[in-house]
Amino acid sequence: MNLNVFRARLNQFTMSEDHRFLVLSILIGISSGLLIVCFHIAIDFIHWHVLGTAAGTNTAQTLLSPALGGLASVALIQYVFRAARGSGVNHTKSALYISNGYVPSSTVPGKFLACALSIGAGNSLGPEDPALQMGAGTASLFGRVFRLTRDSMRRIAPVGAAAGIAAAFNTPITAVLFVMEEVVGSWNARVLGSIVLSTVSAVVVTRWFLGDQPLFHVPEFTLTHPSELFVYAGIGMIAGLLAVLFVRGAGRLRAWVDKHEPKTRFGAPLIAGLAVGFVGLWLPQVMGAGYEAVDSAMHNRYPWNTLLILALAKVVATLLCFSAGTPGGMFAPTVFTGAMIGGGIGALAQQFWPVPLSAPSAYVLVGIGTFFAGVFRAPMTSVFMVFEVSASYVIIVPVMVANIISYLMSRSLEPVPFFAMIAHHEGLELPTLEHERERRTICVEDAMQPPWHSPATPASPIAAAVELGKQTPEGGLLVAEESGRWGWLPLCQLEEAAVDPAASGRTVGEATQTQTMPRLYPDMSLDAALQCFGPFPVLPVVSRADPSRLVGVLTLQDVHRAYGIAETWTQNDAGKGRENQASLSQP
Amino acid sequence: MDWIPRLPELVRRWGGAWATLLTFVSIAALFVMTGFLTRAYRVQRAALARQEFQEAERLSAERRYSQSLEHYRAALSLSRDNTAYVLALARTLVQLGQTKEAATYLSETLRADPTNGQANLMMARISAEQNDIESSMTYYHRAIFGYWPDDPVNKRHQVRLELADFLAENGAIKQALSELIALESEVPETPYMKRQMADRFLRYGMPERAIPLYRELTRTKDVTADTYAGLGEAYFDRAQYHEALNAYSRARTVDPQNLEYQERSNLIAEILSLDPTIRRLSTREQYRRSTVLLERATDLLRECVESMPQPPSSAAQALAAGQARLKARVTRLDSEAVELNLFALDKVWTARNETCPQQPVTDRALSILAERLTQ
Repeated sequence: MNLNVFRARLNQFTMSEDHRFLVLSILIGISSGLLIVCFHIAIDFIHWHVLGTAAGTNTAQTLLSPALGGLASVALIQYVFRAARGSGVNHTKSALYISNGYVPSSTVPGKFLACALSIGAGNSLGPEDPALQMGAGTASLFGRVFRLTRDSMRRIAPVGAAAGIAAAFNTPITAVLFVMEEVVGSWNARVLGSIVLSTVSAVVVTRWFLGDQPLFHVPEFTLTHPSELFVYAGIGMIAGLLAVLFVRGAGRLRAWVDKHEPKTRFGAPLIAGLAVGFVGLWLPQVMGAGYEAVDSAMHNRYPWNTLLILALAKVVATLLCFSAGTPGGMFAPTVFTGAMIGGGIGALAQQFWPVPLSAPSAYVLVGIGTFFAGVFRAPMTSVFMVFEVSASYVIIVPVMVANIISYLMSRSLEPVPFFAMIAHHEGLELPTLEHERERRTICVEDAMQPPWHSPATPASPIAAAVELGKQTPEGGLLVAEESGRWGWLPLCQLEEAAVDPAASGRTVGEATQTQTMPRLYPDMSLDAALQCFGPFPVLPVVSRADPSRLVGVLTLQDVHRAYGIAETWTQNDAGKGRENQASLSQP
Repeated sequence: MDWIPRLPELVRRWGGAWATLLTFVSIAALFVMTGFLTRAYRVQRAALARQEFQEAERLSAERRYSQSLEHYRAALSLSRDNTAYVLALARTLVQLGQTKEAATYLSETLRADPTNGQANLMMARISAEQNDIESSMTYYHRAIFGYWPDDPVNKRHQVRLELADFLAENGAIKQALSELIALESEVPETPYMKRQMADRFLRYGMPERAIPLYRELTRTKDVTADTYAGLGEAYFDRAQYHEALNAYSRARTVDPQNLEYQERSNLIAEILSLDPTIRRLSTREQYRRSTVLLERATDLLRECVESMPQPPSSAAQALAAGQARLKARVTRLDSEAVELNLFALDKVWTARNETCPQQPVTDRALSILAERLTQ
């Protein structure tokens, strides 16, 4: 076949933007899944060759490899892939909110190589955040190749991010929730469908290549006594408290490292790596992502004191690696720390609690999401993460108790969320779902006034309507028409109809023609109400149960007052309102 | 890497159709590459796991369990699906006393494969150690009816024997015997299994079932002194002292150095010389033996009474009755005289056992005969 004919035929095959976006989501999911499989393999290969299969057995290698790996990865980021610096979550968010979906393509190989080196060499970091960034980078590249519109480009980075994290953690629901909570920041139905498609594709690909083994082999879970919930609440409190200390410590250390640039550029990862190696000589579990240690903890391998020591050691090691700028993510370390806190407190409680408790492995499982919820302030993700990992319905109540307490503790003690703190260090101001959630919505009922008068009806006499219209501050009448419809009748139009001798004795409906206007409800947000005003100076607020019943009126001045806008603005706006009213009266 | 940022631009220049084609080709290439990489990864992973497992097995064989444990763990973390690794790790954990951890791994294996015979057996042992008899029995039964990859029949028989031992240790002798009887019907004709069964029947109080098994064993060419001794003991329990002595004599022929057999033979000989109920004894001899037994029993009761500051009156009365019977002048040596001796022996022996139950009886022949005759 002639090449040009082939090309022309391919060009004939066109799809709408929305369809293209959905197909692209699947392709992004597949590509991200493939990339993450390779990333996972690369980390393991490096780990086996550098540290061996049982970390901590060779003293020199254990001590030096995190430092050398960290140095090499920082050098790669510094000199070859500069675009791959920083947090994956914030990069994806900045693609969404700042750079119209643009994520530099070099981020993908940059994160792949640098993070495989640093994590494989034993630095206390995880592969999920880099995977998220690689997914976002892949998605952005696809968007540019397929010439998506600016709006679609903005939406595509989170789609890739979700695929990346789903492939890395092998948990599609968690990935969707995490990206919706932390990256997108709102429950946007247009993005949700694409994110689900991409995560499913990514997970299918990952399981195809790496098998459908869960991340942890979870023992059977049982809740033996209701009083256990107090122990779970205690786990949530301690994890929340530790999360606050962690976020504050990370912020301060990061600020210190930034302040002493460029001395700390290579010095900090070197020191952090040496510290991790040193700790790894006694506690090799803290090296790397640490999922194997979590698995062992679930199998009752460690006593309570070892579990708590491991949690603290991991916090310190991660704090150092993260603050030093060593490439890698925080997802795995938070899971590790939470699991160890949970297991430690559970095993300790077993010795002193008056009634028999569940096995410590149950506490390890519940603890997994607690530190995560405290650090990332993503309570929904943390709950579903444990649920997805355990596939147990019984666990959901303890997990909710522990995670929500941790989240509330963290939120009440530390106002700045972790990713906001990092964004601040990276010089970005990005929105968070937490801010979105906590922003108070002003409703129409907060701003509206009581009705000035009983509304006119089409059956009202013209003369009475003119008298009524003269009393209203906005110079017009609200007319309640049939079927809950509302109309606006400017005073000038009324007066014109009234002076017409033919109109004498006629009703409003016979002599005039009203302008149909939108109606508001008391529970509507003021933002939404503002968009309804159009040319009308006032809008009727009606009951949802009976739309013909007027419960109040809302003017632009009321809206301004509710938002606290200065009076002068209000007056200017009132003037504009009158102009609008005049324009309405034009035939 | 300069070409990477320019890639979208290059593709755009080629046109949408080519972009689509190129994308699919790239994904296909990535797919193939990932496939090769994954295969290499799996091979390497399995090889490392095998290496770790072999090292662990070597250390385990040298009884260096704590060192082997780390290698088992490493092997399992590399090959998490491998049941053999899980079982080996669990076995080592049990040997090191870390039964909680072992139980978690085994429960997980059983959740995936409830019929795993080995895992059920280990869980049964762990439950037994934790005195959870009910769970232990359940696991033992699951192991008996479970799946064993090699030599399943023999393994199941071994487990049933172990279950019988476990039940007997916990006082459930009848249940233990019922397990043995169930096994008897299906046990293969191997000397080893016959011996195991015979020993247990003997131990758990069913010598009549042990005797035919031992007798069969004595007809094999590799018969050991132990087998004769087992047979002797079974006859002894059945109070067939002549047959018991005969079996012990054969045991001594095979193993003349064994002092235990010698002592046992002497005891049986003594019992045979004292037992007044042996058939074809003259009345005089029966009377003589019953008198000797009464004398020895009265001596024992006297020692017991004298050792107490205030002996119970029943003991003193029994002692007086025994002594009176010994001093009584016998005008006619008939079976009634023998019966009267044995009646007095019953009284004296019962009083002695009630008054001084803690005092050991050194006269074993008297003890065995008195116990039998007073029943």
